[in-house]
Amino acid sequence: MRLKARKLVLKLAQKTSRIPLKTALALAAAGVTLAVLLYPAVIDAALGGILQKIVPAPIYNAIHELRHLLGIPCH
Amino acid sequence: MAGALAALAQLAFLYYFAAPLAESLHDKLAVVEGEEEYAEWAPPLVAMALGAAWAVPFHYLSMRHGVAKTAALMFVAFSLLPGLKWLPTPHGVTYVEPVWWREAVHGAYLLYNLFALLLVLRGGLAAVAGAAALGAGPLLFPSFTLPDKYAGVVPELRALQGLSLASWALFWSSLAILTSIFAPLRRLWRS
Repeated sequence: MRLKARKLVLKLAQKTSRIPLKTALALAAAGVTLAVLLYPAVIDAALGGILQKIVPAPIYNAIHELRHLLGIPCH
Repeated sequence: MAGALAALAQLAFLYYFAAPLAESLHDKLAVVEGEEEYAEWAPPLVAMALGAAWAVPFHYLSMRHGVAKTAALMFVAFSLLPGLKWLPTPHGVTYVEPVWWREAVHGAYLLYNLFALLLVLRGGLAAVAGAAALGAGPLLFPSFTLPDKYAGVVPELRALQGLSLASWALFWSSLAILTSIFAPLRRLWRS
């Protein structure tokens, strides 16, 4: 059982090591940006309202307006 | 870089065509609320960040599958299908469901479309399954409901929907054009 798990981990490591670090970093950054701009309420709820404290209201409102124009359903 | 530029073009389009309509609807429909402050400088910056973020997966997929094909498929998966599924609303118009629920459904739908898109790009039988999954997606995910008082402005909301879809078409096509200018060796289409 443990051997099997180790084999799996090794296989996964081999697979992921084929992705260059630059690619991984770029994809991660893009993913985080998309997540924060598309799903602020989910993230805010998950982090216990921390986003609302950090982001000033005028900026939040402006982003909100932009999301409306882009056709993302929100409030 | 190309993504940020394409997003600026999209934003200019939206400011010119969609913003006045959204503004008038906002005035017509908004529940009375206190004066809200807007940071005018924020939308262009945020739009550029969002455009650059969309351009990253586009960059890697287009190296393998060609610029035009990737742009067309990403437009369908991430802009056209979600846009048709849910009405964009002007500021002040509310859906009935809580915000986090709508965002979670929207996010799950985009992830679902991402996997369907990757299947389509694999080609062969997987492509057929992926295309079927893309087509079935709108039926699988729940809708959002607008309160009754917005029934009268559905035509305007549809117009906004059309404008936002047109702006996304502009975004993806200018991203494709800019990519082929910056990376002229990249193929347009690879099957």
